[in-house]
Amino acid sequence: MCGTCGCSSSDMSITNLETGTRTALHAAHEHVHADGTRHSHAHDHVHHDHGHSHDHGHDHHHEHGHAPAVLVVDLNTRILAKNDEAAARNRAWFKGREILALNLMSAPGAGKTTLLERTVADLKDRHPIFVLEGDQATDNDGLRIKAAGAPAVQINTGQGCHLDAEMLARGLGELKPSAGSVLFIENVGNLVCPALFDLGEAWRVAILSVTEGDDKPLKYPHMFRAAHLMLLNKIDLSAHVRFDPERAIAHARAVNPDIEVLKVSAQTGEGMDRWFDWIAKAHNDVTAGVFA
Amino acid sequence: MHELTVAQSIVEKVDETAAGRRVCRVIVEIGRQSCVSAEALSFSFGLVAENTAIEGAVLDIRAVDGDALNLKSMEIEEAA
Repeated sequence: MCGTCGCSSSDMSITNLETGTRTALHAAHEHVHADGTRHSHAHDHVHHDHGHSHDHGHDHHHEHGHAPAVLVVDLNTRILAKNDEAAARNRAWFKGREILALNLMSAPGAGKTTLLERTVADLKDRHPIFVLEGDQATDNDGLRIKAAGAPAVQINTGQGCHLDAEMLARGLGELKPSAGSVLFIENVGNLVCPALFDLGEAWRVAILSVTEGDDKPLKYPHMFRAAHLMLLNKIDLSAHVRFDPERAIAHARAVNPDIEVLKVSAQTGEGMDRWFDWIAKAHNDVTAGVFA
Repeated sequence: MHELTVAQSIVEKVDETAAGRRVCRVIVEIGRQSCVSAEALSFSFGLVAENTAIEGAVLDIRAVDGDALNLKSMEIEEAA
């Protein structure tokens, strides 16, 4: 089993769709895991406690009649600290290159890839666009993006249900997005796990389609709380389904009062101009004009 | 599924800090809004702790408000 993400070993890979080169991702995880030199063993407080003065109720067996010796080591760190560090490195890398990185997350089937195809086709003359595609398996989405006109790298997570910052860093090494570009990261279709893992993106975009339930923001609050923007996709179908866009927006704002919302249809193009304007403004905010 | 990654992160950090010493307890704080299930985390912890210094250690999960995921402390058995 993979030491970082728990995936089974052989099905994690990065495929550079420009060159067709496929690289197994598993080896890199083991390398990172084996690299002990980066880690400090210094701790703020180390208590020697030989008398059970804390109340954790030890139930180990000590046969020799003297007080068992337990060393309490304070760790006081975020559990996902390693991912956070990798995300911070990615963020700094984007900042130095004035790259706008957007992390797109949704349930499977909400239309992320279609939205990206349309976005790439319509915006590629306005911004240099690069795409990192995350899926458990297949290059299908990456090939669709490539056909739409943007360089794409496909990350297959195998059994993994999300992208993490280390995977993104490896993907960036293959994709090599140019300075001043817009990078779309299409996360694995999943409304739970991807919200936990900071990739170093500037903004997180949640996509909810009207063919889902309008109470999804309440059912998956973490995702909608983590998102900065919600795209309500397939809005052209809302007359045909029992989905109340206003109720969906109210639910999203109930868990995240600051969330921005845009109603779009990647299929018909409805509302896509507002999405493109949002991207242009966000892109403008990260570019100081050095590379533009 | 993400609980497995969370468990792996805990075990990696604790194993590294323990440096071969036997760990008997690990204390973590899991936010009630963090979308991490304590049950799934305990299960995953048992799996990933196998064949490490943490094997058999108790994962002491303390529910806290918000979405925190913190590794608080660990207890190491000292040779008497």
